[in-house]
Amino acid sequence: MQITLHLKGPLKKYGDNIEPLTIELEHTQVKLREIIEQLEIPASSISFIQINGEKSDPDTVLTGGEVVVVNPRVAGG
Amino acid sequence: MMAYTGKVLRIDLTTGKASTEPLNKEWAKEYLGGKGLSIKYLYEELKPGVDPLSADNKLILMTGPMTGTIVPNSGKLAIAAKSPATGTILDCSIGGHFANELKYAGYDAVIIEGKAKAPVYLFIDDDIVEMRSAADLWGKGAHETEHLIADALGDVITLAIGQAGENLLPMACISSELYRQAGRGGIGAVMGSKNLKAVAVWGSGGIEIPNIRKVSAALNKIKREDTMTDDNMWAYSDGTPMIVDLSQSTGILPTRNFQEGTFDQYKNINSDAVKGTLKAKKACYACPLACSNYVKKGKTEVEGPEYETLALCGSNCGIGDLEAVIEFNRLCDDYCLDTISAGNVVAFAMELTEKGIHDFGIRFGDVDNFLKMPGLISTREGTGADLAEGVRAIAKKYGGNDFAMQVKGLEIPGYEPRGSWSMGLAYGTADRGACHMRAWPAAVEAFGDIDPFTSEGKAELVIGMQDDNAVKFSAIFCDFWALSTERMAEILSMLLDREVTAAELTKIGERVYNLARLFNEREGFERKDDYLPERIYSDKLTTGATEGKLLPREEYDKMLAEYYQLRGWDENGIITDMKKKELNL
Repeated sequence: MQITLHLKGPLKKYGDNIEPLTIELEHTQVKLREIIEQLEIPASSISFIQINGEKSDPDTVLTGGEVVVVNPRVAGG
Repeated sequence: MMAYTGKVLRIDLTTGKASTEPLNKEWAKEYLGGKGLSIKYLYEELKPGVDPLSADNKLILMTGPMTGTIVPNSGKLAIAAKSPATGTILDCSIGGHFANELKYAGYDAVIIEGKAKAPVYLFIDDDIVEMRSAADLWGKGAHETEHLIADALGDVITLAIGQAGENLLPMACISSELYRQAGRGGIGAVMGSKNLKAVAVWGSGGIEIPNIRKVSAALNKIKREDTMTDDNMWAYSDGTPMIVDLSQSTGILPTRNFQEGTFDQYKNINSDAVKGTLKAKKACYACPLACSNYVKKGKTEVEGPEYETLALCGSNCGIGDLEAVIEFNRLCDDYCLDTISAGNVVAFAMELTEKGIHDFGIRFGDVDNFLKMPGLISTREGTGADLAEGVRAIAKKYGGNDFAMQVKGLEIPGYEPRGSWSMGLAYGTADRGACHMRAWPAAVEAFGDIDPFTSEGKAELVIGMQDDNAVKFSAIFCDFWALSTERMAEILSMLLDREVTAAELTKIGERVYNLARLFNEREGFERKDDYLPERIYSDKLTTGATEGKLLPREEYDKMLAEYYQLRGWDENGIITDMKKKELNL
């Protein structure tokens, strides 16, 4: 089972600048947070996460086939 | 006064005389510079009720204490006047290199008053200040104007207006280095009303900094550890076009005159699309973030388009053609039209046409007529004659007031308040009308962890951001650097060679925001002026993450009442005597 992971903006460096990343899930019931930690993305650098286009929680359990977008913090506007 | 030049240049266009005077040190301590200090000068020097387009209005160019130094992201200039669009206080922020040159020429600020008998431009070359004829420049766009002035004067940095400013449009902006704008509230019309086509500057001086080696080392460390970090480097990697995807996914991307919060063609105008046209990155003075994208698509080149342009002139007009948005952007920059207001005006005309209320001959997605609009509006020709006056005036003449997307006469920026309730409060209480730069709570609400659909805690959130930004824009740090008040205090302490505390800065931010409110209060603004267009309270959105959402009026009222209470204002939004005393207003 795989997921597609888009790391946006400066977060791309945590995936060796590959966009998008394809991640093989090691087992079922993997939380997105575990993948974020494996990639060593600081939680403080993330504004919000989308799973299949919906704003989602990092504790969401992934089952495979999801498209995940991790967005950086932005300032100003 | 370390870091300040201590000198203000005052130019009377009526008499053609220039003079210098000391910077008011007491005010500089209480208001720092930039936004705060320019508002203080205007509050003290303008008579209440002054016509913004008369010779009695004043135009202030204000630097900050760090301008011209190597402090990261300190390169902007504040330009302030009473607004022709709203009648409120108006301060704008423009990037590029004008501010540092002005400081090197020896001035913290320029106060321009009166009105020239015929079109002129100013040339500030250190101590030499000349008023030159602009007869050959009048009627030209800002781009050609800048080129011609550079041909005449050589290495100068110029602020210029285009036809929109000459024709006194309430959405006319001031341009610099072709693609930088002081954009909102008709600041360009104030220049036009004074027959002032441009201001060119060149400076050969420097700025006195204490312990320069130590300060340089400390600033370089700060730049590495606190500026060029994940929190800020989005500006370099993508720039503001990144926000298109964020707004789309959270349902706050204004679409077809704020009828929807998502756009089916958003991928045509998002960051990936803009990156496909990227030729170079550009930066303001002393900025390591280089947020500007210099792009080329088809025959058109422009620095931009920024998020606000992509949203208001793209999705909000139903335009999913990036080349068209880029060309619209270039035209607006040349005529000197604010793209936020211009996009809103065109979108409003499209909806009025489609609803059969008045036929402006343009509908959503109509690229051909869309591209004619900047020229028609700026020169007040054809349908442009009506559109030039802005959304509020169009609604007054033809109807559609419930979906005239403006607050206090200033058109709404690119964040849908029904999907970000705190943005609604930020628009309602911004000092210059609907503005996203006074507070941008969408970043932590729609794009963060805070529930966007509750009024709980929003007043405190917005006040905190408004005061933070007020001090940031007074010290003049670019808002794209997400730095803490403590960091600001650390930097200012080094530059000013005295201890500046975070608490002192927080108080300055509050003072500045209250002074802006006091200016508006003096002009007759109160609670009734702090409301949003009816559409936000009554029409539910129908797509995406904000499907079925609106911002109920009673919830808005609740936020507003709490906001006034926390501000120390009365229930009508009037600053209490106690608060004035506390802030020394």
